Amino acid sequence: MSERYDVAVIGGGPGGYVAGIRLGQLGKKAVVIEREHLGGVCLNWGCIPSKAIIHAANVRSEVSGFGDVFSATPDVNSNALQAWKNGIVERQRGGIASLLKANGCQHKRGEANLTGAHSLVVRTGEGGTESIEFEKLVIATGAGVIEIPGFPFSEDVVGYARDAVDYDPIPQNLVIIGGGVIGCELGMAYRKLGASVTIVEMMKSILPGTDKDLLRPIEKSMKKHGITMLTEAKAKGFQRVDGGAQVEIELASGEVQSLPADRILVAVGFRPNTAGLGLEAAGVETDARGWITVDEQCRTNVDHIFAIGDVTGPPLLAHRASHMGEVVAEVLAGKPAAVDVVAMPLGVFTDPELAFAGLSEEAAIASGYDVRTGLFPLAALGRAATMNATDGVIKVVIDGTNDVILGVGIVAANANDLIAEACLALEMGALAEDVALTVHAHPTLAEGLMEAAKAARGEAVHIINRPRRGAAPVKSTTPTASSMHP
Amino acid sequence: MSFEFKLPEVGEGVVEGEIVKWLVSPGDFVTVEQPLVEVMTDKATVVIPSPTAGVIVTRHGEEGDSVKVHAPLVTIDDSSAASAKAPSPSGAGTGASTGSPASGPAAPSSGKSAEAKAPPKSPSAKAVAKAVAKAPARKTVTGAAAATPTVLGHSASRVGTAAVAATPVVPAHAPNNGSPRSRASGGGVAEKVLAAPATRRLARELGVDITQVPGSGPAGRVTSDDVVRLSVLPGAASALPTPAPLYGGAVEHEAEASLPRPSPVVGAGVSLAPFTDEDEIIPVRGLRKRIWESMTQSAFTAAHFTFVEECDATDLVALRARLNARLEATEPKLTYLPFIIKAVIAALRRFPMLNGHVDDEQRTFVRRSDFHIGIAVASDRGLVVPVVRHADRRSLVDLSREILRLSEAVRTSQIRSEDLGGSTFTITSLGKDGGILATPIINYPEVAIMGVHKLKKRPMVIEGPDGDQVSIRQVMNLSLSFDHRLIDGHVGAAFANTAIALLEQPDRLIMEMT
Repeated sequence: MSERYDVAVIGGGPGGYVAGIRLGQLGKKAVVIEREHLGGVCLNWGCIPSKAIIHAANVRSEVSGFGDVFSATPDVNSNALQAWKNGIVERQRGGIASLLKANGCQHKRGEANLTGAHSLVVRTGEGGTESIEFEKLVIATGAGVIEIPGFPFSEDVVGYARDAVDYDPIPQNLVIIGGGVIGCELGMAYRKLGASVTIVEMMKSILPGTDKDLLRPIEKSMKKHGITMLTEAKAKGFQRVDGGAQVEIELASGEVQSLPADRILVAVGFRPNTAGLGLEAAGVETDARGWITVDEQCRTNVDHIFAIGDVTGPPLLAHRASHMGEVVAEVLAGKPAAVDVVAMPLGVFTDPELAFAGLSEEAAIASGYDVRTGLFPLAALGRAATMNATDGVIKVVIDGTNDVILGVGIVAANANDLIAEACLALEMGALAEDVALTVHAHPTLAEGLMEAAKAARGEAVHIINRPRRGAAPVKSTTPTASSMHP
Repeated sequence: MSFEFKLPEVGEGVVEGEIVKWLVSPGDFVTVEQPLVEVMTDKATVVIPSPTAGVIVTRHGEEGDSVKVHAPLVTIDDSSAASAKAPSPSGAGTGASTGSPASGPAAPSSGKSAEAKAPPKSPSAKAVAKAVAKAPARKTVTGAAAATPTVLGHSASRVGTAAVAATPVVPAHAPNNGSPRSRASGGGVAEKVLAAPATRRLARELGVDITQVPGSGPAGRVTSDDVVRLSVLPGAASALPTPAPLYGGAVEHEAEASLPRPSPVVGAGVSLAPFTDEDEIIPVRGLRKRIWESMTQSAFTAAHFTFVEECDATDLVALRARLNARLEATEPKLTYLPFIIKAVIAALRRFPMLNGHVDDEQRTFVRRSDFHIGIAVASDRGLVVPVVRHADRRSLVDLSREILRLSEAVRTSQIRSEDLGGSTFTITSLGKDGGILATPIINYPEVAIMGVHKLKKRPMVIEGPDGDQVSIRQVMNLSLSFDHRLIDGHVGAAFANTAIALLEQPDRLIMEMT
């Protein structure tokens, strides 16, 4: 005897649970099947817990980095930190469960396996199974970490992103394999909490692919905080020693270096969570790397089966998954919805934070635009100075022929909040002039976007304007004053 | 895989159509563009072509049924495109997808033909089919924009847009390939469509391909108004200057909603005779409904002022006879209407406030510089007003030909959307049944309409150098109704008298012709 649903959603992360809530609102009989916890990686082991750790690290770092104003660097109670972080996660998780319930969407805990194009079984933790028939299916199973040879998981030493938000005590020597978003964010946080941190990256720089103007202040800050960045380097393996491990790193020179580590964080990327799902039973196709291909309505090659979020491939972002969740629910309710996004913001919660939306300068040039850029250094903002956070820059990329904003990059404290204005500008098709003419409150970091938009038009007030055409070598602009409105 | 083909937008402000005649039956194999069904809207009968090749699974609705725009019209199984004889398996859509899609549908037909010709289903192929299904039916209006490109000046300043306007909405032949929001511009840059998210959603809801919408905002930004305009003015859309105020579509729907609904039950205090078996309740539908609504709107919006004057057409009768005697064999006989059109245009040039339309929402009058003359034509289904475009640029013979073509098209229900709407002044001629006067109802939102009455011999007093004489003259009356909110009585009278004077002295008229 199986239960019947209009829509079954496999995965209760930020894609799946949002789809479930929306489906309930739209009058569909839906069920969200989650094998672990509602909220998925984002809430339980990713965005939320990592940001809690990062915030705590920033508080400590701000105090200790405040010159002579504060007397001592605070001690870290890692146990209390974990308790605080876990409390946040549990509260949020409860919130999702009650939202699903309030909107009439069922929630089942267990692992789903497709048995056909319209049926699946849920294996619950207690060894039981439940059969479910569905008219439509949404696959929202997300992505899991990629493991690398030579670094098998172990409780005490080798772990992944989800383990790294649980470190208690704070590691003394943390070796991070992979200089991507997770490696940089957590590397910086644990450095600030007292760990010695080494980031091992195979590519030429950390955060590969990042605009150089934006990367520079982050690399500078990493160095300032004493993080060792080994680029074009490979982690070969490790030896367990008393109290931890010795990690073997092959450097760019070919020389092999051995680093002590009580924790090794492997953060080299993600692969889709499709194994064991039974995609073949339903006829769902994936691309060569296993990501499920979907159209703008999130539809797979099978007409009644949809996929959203990380399982559909990069960029792997919670907010992308949630947006797709809303779109898919509306599509399933017969509305003409589509994923039609100009600006999908990308963020890195380093110090300073990095946020980006739209086209990078490089991409805009490659697309054939007559590119102009405007750079505004945080050092020229009064508010940044008063926050003791003058590292960073705001960069606006525009189409020189019509002033349309093509992309915005922000490296600053709270950059991921500041980028929202840029996203709205991009979605609305705003001109640099529109942003330049919008009055921004003083003193704020947000003034920097206005000034960068002006700079792109050669009208910046608080820096010397230099024509900056695309393809020209990128040089940073020198501030004329150390702050605005002194 | 089968999909529901929905009734596309078939004309300005058209929200539903009536199925006149099915041209296909379930099980039929159809090719792309093959006519599926004749649908009569309140403006015209249009033939809806198939967006794809495939087998007809279901027809949604019988002949005589009403279908709303965007409601399912027909279900087509396009996966069977290669196998013409394949019986359409009921419910093939969902059943088929259980198997591996590349191996063809789970239909009982041989997999061989599907393999041979039907491409493996992929999301993009499906997207194309869907996009075609969603695209407004531009079939009957294709070329309209190209035919009147002269008013496109507005968009010429933007690279890329001009090209868009020249090729009016192409039913998505080009697959979007996941980048639906790019369009090529002059520099070869894949330029994104500048439009706010709400506008892009609106375009999806209206089934408008936003990449084809000329934007009126800064840097070519597409506004919601731009989208609505394109959705309600198929074909004519790109022929109108973009900043023109909205008629039809959204505004009209609003107006409809605000109008008093005709009640089937007469209100309290009015007693009706008992209903008998011989009595009949006739629903107001189709063209009649459209006329009902537009007449109500006009009658209760414009302040009608009708001015009637007689016109001594004796010389005109003679001139027409002379001209008709000299026609080439291929040239149609001239009626009086071409002369009247010419006289009206000459008068409109002197009184430009009668050539255009009001925008009641904006409280503006939009004076038009082109002369598109609406001609009221009676048909079995009701009154239709096809439009003689650029009537000022046409010769008498050309006008005659065009009027003949338009009235024939109306009479045979073959009138195309591009021949309807967008007139700047309307003439209604009742011909030999014309009576002596009428109070024509303005073709709202225009501001004036000219009624032409019966030409007949009448005794007239002619003032000559030798005193008054009674003479037998050919006389017809002209009735001019105009919107008194905008046009004062003496202005309307002066306009009418100008036209009449030219008709009375056709030599003068010829001198005014352009």
